Formats: sequence, C-alpha cells, structure tokens
Amino acid sequence: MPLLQPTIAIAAAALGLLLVLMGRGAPQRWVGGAISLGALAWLLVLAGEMPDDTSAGALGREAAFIVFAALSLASAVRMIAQPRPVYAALFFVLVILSTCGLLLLLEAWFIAFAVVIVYAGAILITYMFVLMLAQQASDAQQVGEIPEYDRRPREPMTAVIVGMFVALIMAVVVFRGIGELPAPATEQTRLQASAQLLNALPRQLDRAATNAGLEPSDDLVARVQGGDVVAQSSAGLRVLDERDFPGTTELVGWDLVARFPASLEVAGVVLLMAMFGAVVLARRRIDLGEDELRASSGMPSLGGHGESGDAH
Amino acid sequence: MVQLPEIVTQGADLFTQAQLARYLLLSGLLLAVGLAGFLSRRNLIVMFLCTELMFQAAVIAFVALGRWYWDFSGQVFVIFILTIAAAEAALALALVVLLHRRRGTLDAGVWQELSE
Repeated sequence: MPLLQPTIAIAAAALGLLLVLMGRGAPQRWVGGAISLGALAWLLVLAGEMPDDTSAGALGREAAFIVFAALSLASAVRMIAQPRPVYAALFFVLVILSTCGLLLLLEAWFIAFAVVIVYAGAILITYMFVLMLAQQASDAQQVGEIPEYDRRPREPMTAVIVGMFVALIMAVVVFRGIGELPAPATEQTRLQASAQLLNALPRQLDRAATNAGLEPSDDLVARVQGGDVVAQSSAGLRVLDERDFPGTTELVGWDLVARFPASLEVAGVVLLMAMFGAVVLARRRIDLGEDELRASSGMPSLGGHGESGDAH
Repeated sequence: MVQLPEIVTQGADLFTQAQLARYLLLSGLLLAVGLAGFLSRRNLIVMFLCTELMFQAAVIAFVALGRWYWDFSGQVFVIFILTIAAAEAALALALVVLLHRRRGTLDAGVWQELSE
C-alpha cells in the first residue's frame, strides 16, 4: 500500500493539533480541531474500504465504529487541549465510554464493562477527588481564574512533532504489516475453543445437551464434528445450539484462571502493595519551611526571615 | 427466551482485515495524542491522565488482535492493565498530593530543580 497519503494525513492532523494547542481564541482552535479530525477520518478511510457484506448488521457495525472512533479521537484531542483540568478528566471519561463502545463491537463484553466500572467509575473518581482537593487552595484567592500553567502548554511544537512521529511509525506498521500477519482464527478454531471449554465446564455442557434434547450422563463429551459442536454420550449424539456455547466472558475467565493463575496472584499482590504505598505516602508529615508554607497558603514570599512557622 | 438480534449472534465471522487495520490505526493515533498531551501539559494530574489515555490505546490494540486470533490472552492482559492502572493511579496521586502540599501548585515546572 502506498504510504504517501497516510503521511500527508498524519501531517495535516498534527498541524491541526498544533493549532488547537497554540491557537489564540476559540475560532482558531475550532478550525484546528476540524482539520485534525478530518485528516484522521481520512486516515481511517485509507486503512480499509467498506466491507463487501452490505447486510444491515455489517453496515450498522461499520457506522458504530465510525461514530465511536470519531468520538474517542475528538474527546482525546479536547482532553489534552482543555485548560481546565476537571473538564479534561470529564473528556477522558468520554474517551473511555467511546472505547468501550469499540470493545463491545469487538465482542469483549466483560472487558467493556470492567473498563467502564474500573476506569470511569473508580480511577476517574480518584483523579477528580485529587483535582478538586488540589484546586481549593489556588481558587480561594482567585475564583474562576485558570492558573498560568494550565493555560499555556509547554513546548507544544516538540510535543506534536513527537506525537506525529509515533503516529507515523504506527501507520507504517499497520499499512505495511497488516497483510503479513499470520492467518486469523478460522471457524474451526472457534468451535474447537467452544468444545474445549464445554468439556471443562460440565454443568454448562449438561445444560447445552439438555437443550439439544440429550439426557445428561457421566460420559457426556463435546467435540467438533464438521461445522458443528456435538455432544456425545452412550445415549446418542446431538448437535449443540450456538446459543449454548460459552461466550467470550467464559472464555476470558477460563484463560485467566487456567493459563495465568500465577499472574493473577501477582496482580493481587501489586494492588495490595500499591495500597500500602499510597497510605504510607499520604500519611507522611512534611516539615515545610517558612517560604513554602507561605507559598502553599497563597501569600507572597518573604524572601528573608520572619517568625518561624509550624507545618502542622 | 428473548431472540437475540442478528448483529450479536452472527458477529463472529464478520471481522475483516480492513477492520483490524482500522482498530490498530485508531489505537496508534490515540497513543500519539496521549503522548503529545503528556509532553505538552504542565499540570501533573493531567499528565497522568494522558498516560491513562495511552493505556486505553493499548487496550484497544490488545482486544482487536485477540479478536483476530480468537485468543483471549489479549483480554486477560487488559485485566492486568486495569490492575496496573489502578495501582499507578493510587501511587501517582498520593505523590501528587504530597508534592502539592509542599508547594501549593500542580505545575510540573516547579520541580525542575530536581534535575539539576
């Protein structure tokens, strides 16, 4: 695939992003945002043509992808350009929600909802909490005024160029390498995975067999036969309904406990240690110097000596 | 029993190479935007938010490739990413609160002298 068009698209997107970050006044920022979004949309169009399959389902998925992708990119750009940190956090929630829409399109039901609960629910609340805690001090003296370090980005030019470079590398990898990926899973692999998991979960296998009209028994096994998964026992053989197959949630859960049990334990220990670390850090007493004490309460620095202050 | 709509039940065989390319590209672009934000923002908390944005980009890439190969270790890895993100958020925010109590500002530039 020729790489000229993606390169132009990424450069245009970077230019738009630069305008968003450095633009003076709302009109320039909006124009920058429109340029970068348009360029990114062009890039996504270049990545692949519409599917041959024009059934309502396929077109619906395509439309949903476009909506969620545009929403996530637009809110990501607004998030990094937004001077108010609380609004940036809210735009990040929007990014999470739209990526979860994409995860639903990818049939990752469990991950989609786990990400909403953990990210949008727990982690973002912590961020908001700290943001509001930290903004109290400065807001007391200058209500509604955004501090200088939030209004003016630090070296936006360098940041955008580095970002553009990363995007370019990603685009080259995707456009060049997508054709060389090993073959995807076939229908057979999927059936195999379903049959394997059914054998590992006897109660689900019993239920599936009952639904197919086969009495559950001890020698019941599931296996792939042709294009179907069948349940076989001494009493007979029945083709199982696709609706009784284990879903992606069951497959993920099985992978988690059967293939990575040690990592699961390590993850638990990491969380515990992070909790200890956070408590230790947050409980630490700091002895502030006179100048630091005055600075944190918003008073001008003395620049010399004064009566000694107590931090606590 | 409720009849599931077509789009859900027969989704399994509709994932094409063009779609995979688009998901991966979107993930790369989100990563680039997050990186640009991390480098250009000066507010410590927003900088950490930008790293979370890069985590989201990784999540999309993992799930899309897992979907392509029908291999669920990608999604298992996402669960670990969530764990690490939660741990990172707790520690980073505790540090930020500590720094903020010291100087009364969230400006990363205030701590420049640490590099000298």
